[in-house]
Amino acid sequence: MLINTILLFLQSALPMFIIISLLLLRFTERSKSIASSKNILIIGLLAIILAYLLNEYMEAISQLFNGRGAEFVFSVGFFLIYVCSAVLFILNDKQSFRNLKQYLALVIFLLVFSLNGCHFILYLTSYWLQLSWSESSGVELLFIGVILAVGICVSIAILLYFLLRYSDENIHANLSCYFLLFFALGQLMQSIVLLEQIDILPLSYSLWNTTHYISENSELGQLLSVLFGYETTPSVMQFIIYLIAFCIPVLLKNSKNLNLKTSGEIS
Amino acid sequence: MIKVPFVYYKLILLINLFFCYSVTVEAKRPEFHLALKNNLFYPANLVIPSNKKVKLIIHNQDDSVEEFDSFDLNREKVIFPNQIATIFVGPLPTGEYHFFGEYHPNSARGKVTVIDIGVDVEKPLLTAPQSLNLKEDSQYVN
Repeated sequence: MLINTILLFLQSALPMFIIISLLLLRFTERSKSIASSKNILIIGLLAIILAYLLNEYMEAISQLFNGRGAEFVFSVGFFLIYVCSAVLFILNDKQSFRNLKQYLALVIFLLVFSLNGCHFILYLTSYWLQLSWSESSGVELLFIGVILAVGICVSIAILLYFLLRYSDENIHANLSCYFLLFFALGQLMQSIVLLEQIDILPLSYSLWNTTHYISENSELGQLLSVLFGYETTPSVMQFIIYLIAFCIPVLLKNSKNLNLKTSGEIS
Repeated sequence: MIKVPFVYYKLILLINLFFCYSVTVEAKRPEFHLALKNNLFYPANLVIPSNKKVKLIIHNQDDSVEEFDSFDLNREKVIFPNQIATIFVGPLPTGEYHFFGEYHPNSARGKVTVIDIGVDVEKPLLTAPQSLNLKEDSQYVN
């Protein structure tokens, strides 16, 4: 129960903490307005409301499209996270798109929070409803599990923030930007798995199986999964899409023609 | 203004064709049924043919939410009380693929055993849920 709560929390809440680190790192120093307390409060409240509504209507949503509704909604959500992050990655150095970048960052934050938050609320509420108040050990384990998992998530997020800040200043200026892209690829992989699961994308054989080295069910496996979309048994389709989804934003970012057009040097 | 090269339109068309093909062949998948009762999966060992994509229909007969989870199969699906969920798995090479209920990982456990058998895709291996035998033994009906 304790380990299960920690793993579920890592799976659901770690993306939220990681994205806060990444967005704070990219935006607090360069454009202070996005990190204003008013903006954070509004978006935070909106994310909580959206996660709550998703959780409330999840049963009805899951029955839509012949039982494929939940997969459709989540895959579209994860895909949007990838698209927004990829655009943010491409436009990272372009000062002329400051407002657009701010809105994209807010959309990413909102989507990551609501999609992942809804999953954890579902687990907590369903477990809570099954527990009778006499089962105090279950409640205690749930409570301890949440506390421990919050501690792990906060520690990882703070560590990541300072590590990337250091690497941005001393190793490569855009390292955190690439990190954002890898995080988005992880979200995109979730979208691909969901589409394969409902037979929208064709299923294929697994390319490899790394369960014996790093299991996805372990704490490290969950962390790697959130950081760059680690899969123990990736399909051919996932692998191809991962490569394409990485190469296109990188090529566009480094495209000389695009750089000239966005900076206004050619019409 | 960023101009989109013509090759991207071709790519979009190709992706659309891909999706259309996938949806049209869906009806031919062999179906397998799995039931969840008292936080236990029945059958606990589901036998499916190798190298074929199959439709797995999971019926949650409990009054609580459960999440079907399998790292081996790379599948995750929330199933609400007294509802049926459908997922597709495979094609898989022979072997054992474990699954569990994420909300009751100690009791709700099972595995999919993939074996080499000749299966006619028009004839499902398992029958409808009403004929489902609630035994923990391996279940395979031809």
